[in-house]
Amino acid sequence: MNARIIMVLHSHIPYVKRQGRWPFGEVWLFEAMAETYVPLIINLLKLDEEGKQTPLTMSFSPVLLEQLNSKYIKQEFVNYLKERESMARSDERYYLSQSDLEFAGIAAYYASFYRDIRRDFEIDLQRDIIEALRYLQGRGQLEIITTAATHAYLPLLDRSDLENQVYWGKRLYEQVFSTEPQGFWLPECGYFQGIEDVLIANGFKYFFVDSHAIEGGKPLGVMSPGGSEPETEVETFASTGLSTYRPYRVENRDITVFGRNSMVSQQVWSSEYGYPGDEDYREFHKVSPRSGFKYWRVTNRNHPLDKKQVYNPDKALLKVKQHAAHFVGTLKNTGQNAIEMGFSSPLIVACYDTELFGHWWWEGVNWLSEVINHLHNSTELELVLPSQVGPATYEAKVFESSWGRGGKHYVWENEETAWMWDIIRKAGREYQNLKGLEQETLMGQKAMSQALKELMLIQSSDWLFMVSNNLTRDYAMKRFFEHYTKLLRLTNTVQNQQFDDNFREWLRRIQYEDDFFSCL
Amino acid sequence: MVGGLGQHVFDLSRFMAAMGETVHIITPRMGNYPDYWIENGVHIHRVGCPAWEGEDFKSWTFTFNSEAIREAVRLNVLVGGFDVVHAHDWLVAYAGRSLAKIFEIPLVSTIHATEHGRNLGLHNRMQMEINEIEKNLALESELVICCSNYMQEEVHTLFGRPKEDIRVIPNGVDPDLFTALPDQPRFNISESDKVVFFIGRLVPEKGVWQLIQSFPQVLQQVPEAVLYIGGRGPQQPQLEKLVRDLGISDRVVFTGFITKEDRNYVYNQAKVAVFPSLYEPFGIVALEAMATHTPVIVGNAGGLAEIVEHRVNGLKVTPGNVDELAQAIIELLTDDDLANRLQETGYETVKSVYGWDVIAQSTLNVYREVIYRKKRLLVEA
Repeated sequence: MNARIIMVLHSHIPYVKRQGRWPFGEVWLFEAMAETYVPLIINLLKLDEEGKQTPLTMSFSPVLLEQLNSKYIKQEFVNYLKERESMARSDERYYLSQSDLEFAGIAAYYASFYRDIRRDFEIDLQRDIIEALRYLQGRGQLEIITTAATHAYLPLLDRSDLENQVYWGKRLYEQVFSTEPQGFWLPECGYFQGIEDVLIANGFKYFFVDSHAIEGGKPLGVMSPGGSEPETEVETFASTGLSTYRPYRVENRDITVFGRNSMVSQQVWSSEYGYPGDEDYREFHKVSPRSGFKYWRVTNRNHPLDKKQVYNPDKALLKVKQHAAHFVGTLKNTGQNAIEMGFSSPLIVACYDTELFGHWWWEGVNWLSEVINHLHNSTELELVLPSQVGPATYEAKVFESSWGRGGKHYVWENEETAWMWDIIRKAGREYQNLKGLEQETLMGQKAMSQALKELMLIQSSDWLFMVSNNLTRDYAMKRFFEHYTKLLRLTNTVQNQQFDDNFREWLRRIQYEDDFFSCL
Repeated sequence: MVGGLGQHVFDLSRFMAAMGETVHIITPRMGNYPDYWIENGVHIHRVGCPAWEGEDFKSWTFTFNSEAIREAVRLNVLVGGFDVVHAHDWLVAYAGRSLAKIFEIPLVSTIHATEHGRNLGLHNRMQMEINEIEKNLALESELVICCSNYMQEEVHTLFGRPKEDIRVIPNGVDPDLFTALPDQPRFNISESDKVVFFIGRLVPEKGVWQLIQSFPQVLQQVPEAVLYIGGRGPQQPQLEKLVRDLGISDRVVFTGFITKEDRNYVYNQAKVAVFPSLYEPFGIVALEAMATHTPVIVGNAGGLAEIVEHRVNGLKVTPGNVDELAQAIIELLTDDDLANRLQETGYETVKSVYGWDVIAQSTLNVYREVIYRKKRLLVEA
């Protein structure tokens, strides 16, 4: 055995339950479930059944867990799958009537995809994704970690808001998995010196940062696919001479930090040479106006959408095998290089957004299974879980950083979002001002706990990201203002202690609307 | 209350208050105005930073929305719950939408003008964003109010809102506001001068360029003619240059900012008021001129075209046609009978159709309708 690999998949969808269905809202969650979570978990269960070791590290945002756990979402998801299947069938009939057998074939392929996912979800998973996660964690195939309660961008939050996000991130995890989380995923790898103290206070043993936070140098600044790319100032960090091939203890603190390996991250993420841009893979951006299905392949990354050619699923699967083999080869070389540099058992940490596989990169789930298969059979590489790595012996000072463009906070704090941070901070103070007061009535307590939910929803990094990148901006701003208005109505009523019937009735309704964090 | 929009909201509100309704206006802080004030029965609340048109206008606007929400939440308890929220233009779209949603009350919005119309298209990210905000405001409001059939059509085609959900209620004019005169007029207008008056923002869509271009022809026929251009705007330097290039500097006066009293004085002296707009959602200025008994010439565009009936209460000219404009001005400066007839019918138009009492009543009817609809929906649910 030569090199150890930690593969981290970070999963998050903002809270969209009962907050609009289509084109923005619940459909985001349903797509991620159908295209990523369900197929990925089914694959992991299969590998487990075959007696293979699949140790993956996965983080799930508490808001996502809550939604996956919701009866309403489960039912609506089944409806969504039925709708997609029948839409695909209707596409198939349409293309047959046009004697377009190629397109009809792809339509049929989608119809069976959604039928299979529905069967997997209803029968194999018994509609319970979380139970499957518990099972896989119990089998040692997964190490599930947590993150900020509503996926807030932590480095820019006020201290008390930051503490809430970490504390409730942990509490919710415990409620769902009945065990204490060991690791914490910093949303967007957003780190500043001091955050580790909040993590330590909550009993966390490790967290992850981007490469330049440890090694210094030029940040990768890779963003999720789909983001537009305005000019960003890229900060160059001083070279430290440290390496992500080993874990570190944060300087003078009792917590381990893992640095992302830039090489293997780029191999998958890069929009220029990453695998998902291969000509045979399905094109994400071109969508049938009839049905929303995607019938085309990338063809050539630089070609405009009207130049795309028809997708061929079988051909794409051949590429998956080649790319999985290539990736494992890259891991071997990287490990070999590290050994030559003097690391006896180098660590390679690969972190990705879970939704990259399947949702953005349609073939990604298959690719991941192939890679795991390769690693299972390899004598030079071993997939490991963070808790198996053992205590870090070296210390490191970690740079303030993120995995976003420019390497620091720019993506979430810029001229487009400055006003949002003012409101986020005002909202925090609004809540803190009342928090100290003893609420004698049950109504007062209910209002305060709802206020905390609204406060944390305002803090979701998603709204900032969408406004900053001009993606579904109106939806983001609408949600941002609505949660702020709810918070103000709650705090104002608590302040005046005017819990009239009108308010009671309303509170009941918004408790239903924003009903996550039942433990709160 | 900012600019013309602010005056509109205030006039509408005070006439509603006079009809016994309780109206609260939330608007940006301004100069030395107090944070809370009751004027003509209207409660005026000022919040946030004073309005400004700096480079970060968008940020200022959204921050103002959050302050307006805070104030409305506070007031809602004090007034025992609002019945309806009325948003005027995209600047307050998010406050209007959130308040309506969170307080479960109907939202009415008035779209005074659109970004697409103002800029004759969408040319940059900011304009596209504003267009998007306007669209969502128009689509999420229970009912939309526009000031003219022209604007109804525009909102319908741009944003896809069905026409029956877009109510046309014109803007109002109060003739009493045009009677006050300055103690000492700023301008020295002699008896023999035949004054042609334009007032408005100096931007291309108002057609001032064409007005100036037509003026040499007017002077040929009527040498006593003098053109008064009231108001300010980004186009002013180019317009001043055009006047110099045409060699008519001695017959054209740029007033710059003009007080209400001085404006009334010029109207009093004017033989004709000209608004040759290329784009005009409503055209309140034409009504103001009519309220001062001044005959009007307007560009046959947008709302202006709806107010003026050709040769009945004013003259209409093809927008952008310099010769036609010159001929119309010459006709009114030389034909006193026509001028008298037009100004008399014009004044009648203002009184009968554009009185604030009529408009406030129509707006209240819209409120009643949305409140009724919302209740019915709640009962059905």
